[in-house]
Amino acid sequence: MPRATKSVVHGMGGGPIQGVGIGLRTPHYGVIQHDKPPVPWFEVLIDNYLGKGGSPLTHLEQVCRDYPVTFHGVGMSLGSTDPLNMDYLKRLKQLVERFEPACVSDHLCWISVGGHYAHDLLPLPYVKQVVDHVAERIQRVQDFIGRRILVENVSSYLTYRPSVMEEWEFLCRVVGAADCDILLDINNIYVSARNHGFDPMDYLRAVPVARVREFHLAGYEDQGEYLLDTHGSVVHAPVWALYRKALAHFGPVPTLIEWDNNIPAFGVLQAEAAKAGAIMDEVCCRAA
Amino acid sequence: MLRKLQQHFFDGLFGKQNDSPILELINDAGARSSAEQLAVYRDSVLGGLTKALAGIYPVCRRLVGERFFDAMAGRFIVQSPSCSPDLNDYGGELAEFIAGFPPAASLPYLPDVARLEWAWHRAFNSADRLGIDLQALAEIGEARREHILFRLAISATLMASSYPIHRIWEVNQDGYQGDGSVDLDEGGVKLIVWRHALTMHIDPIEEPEWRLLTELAQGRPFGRICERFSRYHPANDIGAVLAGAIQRGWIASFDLPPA
Amino acid sequence: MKETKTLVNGALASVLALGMAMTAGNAVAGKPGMEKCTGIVKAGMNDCGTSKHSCAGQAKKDGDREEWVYIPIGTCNKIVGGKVKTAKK
Repeated sequence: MPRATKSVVHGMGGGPIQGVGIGLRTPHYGVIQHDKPPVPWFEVLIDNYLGKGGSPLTHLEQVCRDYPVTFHGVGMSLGSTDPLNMDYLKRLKQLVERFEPACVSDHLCWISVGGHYAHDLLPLPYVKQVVDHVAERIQRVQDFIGRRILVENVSSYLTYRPSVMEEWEFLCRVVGAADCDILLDINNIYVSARNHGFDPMDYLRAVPVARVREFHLAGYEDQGEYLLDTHGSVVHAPVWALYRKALAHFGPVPTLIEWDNNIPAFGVLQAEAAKAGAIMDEVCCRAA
Repeated sequence: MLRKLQQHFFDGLFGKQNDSPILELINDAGARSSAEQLAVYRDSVLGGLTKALAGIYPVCRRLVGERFFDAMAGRFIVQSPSCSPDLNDYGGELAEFIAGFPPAASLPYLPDVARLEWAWHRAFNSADRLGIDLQALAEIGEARREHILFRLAISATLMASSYPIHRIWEVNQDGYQGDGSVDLDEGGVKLIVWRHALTMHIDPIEEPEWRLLTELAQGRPFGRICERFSRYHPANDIGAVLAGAIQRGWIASFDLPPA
Repeated sequence: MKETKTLVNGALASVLALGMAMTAGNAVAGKPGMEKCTGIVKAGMNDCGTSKHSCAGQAKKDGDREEWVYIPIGTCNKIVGGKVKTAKK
């Protein structure tokens, strides 16, 4: 089942991505611009570049000139019952047209209601009505920005009584109805599996292989009774183990190292990326 | 169904915690109650917004201490929700909140320091408008010149305080050399906070400069500004003040309405 | 209106006299301001939107008695004079 060569996701002008990329964070601007480290691609948290000028856009221009990039966002609120925020989407569209990232992604969740924003990825109830609602909004986003998007599974800390299907079934139905792609966060699957007591392999086996365009890896924090997805540490051993299984199942999908709290020196992220790259080579080349 | 669930969820995050209707929609999870599960989200949301405010208002936080600031931020957040998907847009009303927050009453300069920090934050991400086109200005016929509308740099905020807030800001920057004390009896200040390319500026401005800049920020045509300026500052030469303001970069463009 | 025109023309003459060599941002006159290069100084505000914090619950546990929490204990003790002096006696 694994593809023989690394999957390549093509961008229009930003170049295709493959291998293991790193999430771009402001403390690393200096070292990236000065040293031009050999990173195959960077993922940009695009919500940080919605302003009209100044330092953030200058840095984005520099990174896009030197590396292939993907755009990752937290602001679409795809699962909200509010109208889509067209100001946000217009700005995003401008940036997408200007920088032509290889991928544009956001999350399968909601962040706002009644015009107010939580700035947090909040969970959805898994029912048919919500599948249709979210799929329709994803289609409208894709039509508006003129691109397919990837939707990412989020970590969750509760489940709803009204839910009638598993998270992976919900994900599969949404992406099928919306005809969009998937950003599979391996860490989030593990965190949710531990928090809700399901087998992560059930999740992996259910997901349509052809739609998975990117993996995410990050570190969680063990709170005793549950796992908290802090993105504040190295990737933990059980997530590396699940990553191996995911590579064996889906092939060498482009993978991102994400780190958002207590951001370490850039070399630490490079070491994590190298570790992921070695696993990708080992699992995928051996299988081929 | 989804709308109601989301509204209940928000009420559970920001409002009453124990009798929220959202709790009845959450599955039991072994030993953890639905309220404890929801609390993971509440802590994350409040923690994230507090961190955002701490990032925008580092001087205020330093002045009152982290414990005070974070507790105050918690109060602010539940009464002042975010209305934009971009976290850079959040927190502009904190100065107003501080002004009405009794525990901060002993620090009367604090709301103005917060206003200064907000102006700084907005200037950081604003659009650019670089330099005035003097050639185009020179080509305007004499009869039309009084209709010129000069524009401030897009990033600029003009602010006046009864306290030396620029000094308070300065001594509370990382790496400031000195003992960090400021005497409020130094008196008030008028400031323009703005950005030129990648450099942020906090410039104290004199009374005649303030007159010119506030008048043109209100959209008055140049002829009218000249009249008013000569009335308020008969001893000052508006030509010199205007030239200085353009030279500093405070004035960054102009428009000429159609005749 | 004659006087307005004189004022306007005089003022613009001063500006144009500065000539094209003038560069915005390079001040030669007026009070010195404070400036700071924005190159790499400000963190991405939205970064944490993809993850969770573990700090807030901690802060809540620490914040026991309100009167204790709401005593400013930062660098404000270095700000002297004015109303603060009278408030402290």
